[in-house]
Amino acid sequence: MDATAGSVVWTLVGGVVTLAIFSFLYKDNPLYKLAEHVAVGVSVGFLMVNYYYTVFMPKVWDNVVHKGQFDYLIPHILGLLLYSRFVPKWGWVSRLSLAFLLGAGSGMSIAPSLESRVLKQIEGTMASLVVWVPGDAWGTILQTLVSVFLVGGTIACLVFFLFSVEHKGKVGKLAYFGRLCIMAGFGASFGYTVMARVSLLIGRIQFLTQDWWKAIGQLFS
Amino acid sequence: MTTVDLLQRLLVLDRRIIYALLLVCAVVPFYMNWPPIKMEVSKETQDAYDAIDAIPPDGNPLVLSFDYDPASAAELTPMAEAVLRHCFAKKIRVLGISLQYSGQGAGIAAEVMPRIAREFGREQNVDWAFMGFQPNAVVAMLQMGEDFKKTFPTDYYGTAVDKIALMENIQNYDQVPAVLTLAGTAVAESWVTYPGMRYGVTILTGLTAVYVADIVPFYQSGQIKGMLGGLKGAAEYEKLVAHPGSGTAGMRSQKVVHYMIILFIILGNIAYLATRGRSR
Repeated sequence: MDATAGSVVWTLVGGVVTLAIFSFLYKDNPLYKLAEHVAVGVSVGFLMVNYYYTVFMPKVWDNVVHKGQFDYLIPHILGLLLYSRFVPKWGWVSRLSLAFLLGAGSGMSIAPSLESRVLKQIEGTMASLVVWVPGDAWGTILQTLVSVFLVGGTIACLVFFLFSVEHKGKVGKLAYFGRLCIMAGFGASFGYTVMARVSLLIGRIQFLTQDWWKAIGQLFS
Repeated sequence: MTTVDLLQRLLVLDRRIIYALLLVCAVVPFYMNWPPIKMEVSKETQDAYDAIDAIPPDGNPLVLSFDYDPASAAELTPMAEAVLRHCFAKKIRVLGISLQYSGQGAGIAAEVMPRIAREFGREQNVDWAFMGFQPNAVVAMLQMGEDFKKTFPTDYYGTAVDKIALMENIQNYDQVPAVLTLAGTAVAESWVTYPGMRYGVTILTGLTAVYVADIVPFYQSGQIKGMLGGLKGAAEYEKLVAHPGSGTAGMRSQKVVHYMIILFIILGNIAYLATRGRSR
């Protein structure tokens, strides 16, 4: 089988599997189940083979066996220790590896995460309440309103999560405004999610109506 | 049958009818080239375009990270194609990598990069290179900050990094004008947190629409310099490079399907409010 014939066959298989998955929209059926199981199996198989060739072979086998760099065995042994959880008596050994993972992970991420997710966000929110748009009075007013809304909304959202003060009176009103802001955020997320899911459908339709249809034509020609 | 009866029946409408309508709304625009699309380029997309456009021709490369799998390809591959067309048309070099955990992004990049490069006659390993997949995205990102060549000792095709002309002057992020990550997962945030914060790299993102709302705060705070969001972002970039592709084609269907969904949301709410009194 040459490359073109192989490509046609795999395109045809892709189309059939797509339709099999879509058949679930009508009702659950064996064809859907088959496609679902094939998808899971292929994904796991791909992952294992890929990691064997991109992690185990170059990072462990080549370094230890071919280059004699035995220090590469240390992370390998730590990784293997994680499997001790399968033997209840020796399960505690896996904590050594977990402790290393937690320590290294925390050390790597705490400082940059704090900076990017907290400090820079505060800086970005409080940068300026008045935004000048040179030569555009309406633009200045609009951008300033946006900026004020951003700061006010952020403070209101924080007040909504302030549970040590009863949400009554002015605090209650501010918390309610915060709740509205959060709901607007959820609405935006939902809108984007719909757009994403529709995009996936469009992608499959493009595949079926262009590539798959063309492959069917090539099959019969 | 009264209007309220009709609305009550609408509330128990078979979901398969909605699916069928959705399918019709998504398919018909492809064949009819309808409805017309009038697209304004958003500031986020324009910023990403400008940042890439500012990279000097035949100089240090844009790092294009294919951090997505086939499930996100419908949204992100049109972005990759549009950005590559922009770069290759302006003779901007491109260094492709893939850090998506399953490694499937590498397969997508290995198909997309040579195809677009052929359109513009750009030479592999001189004008563009694809270094392949590295597991553990954060570790790879940090290691690239020290030494690119240690992170990617060979390219995707097995060529030693020393034999790749494009990599001659690349030691670490200091020689990288910008990184564009095409991502459908939290890896985009890692690009901001690690190379962005620690090494001050210019980070640009192309995201699936689901993920846009999570990443927007990083753009607003200036940690991300430009952002393409979902299929709309891809279509906007296609407009900027004057090469309408699958992103633009998909926006017609997006428009019709969104109208349909909005209509059903309104009808559903009217039916609910109209029949609520009756059930009481």
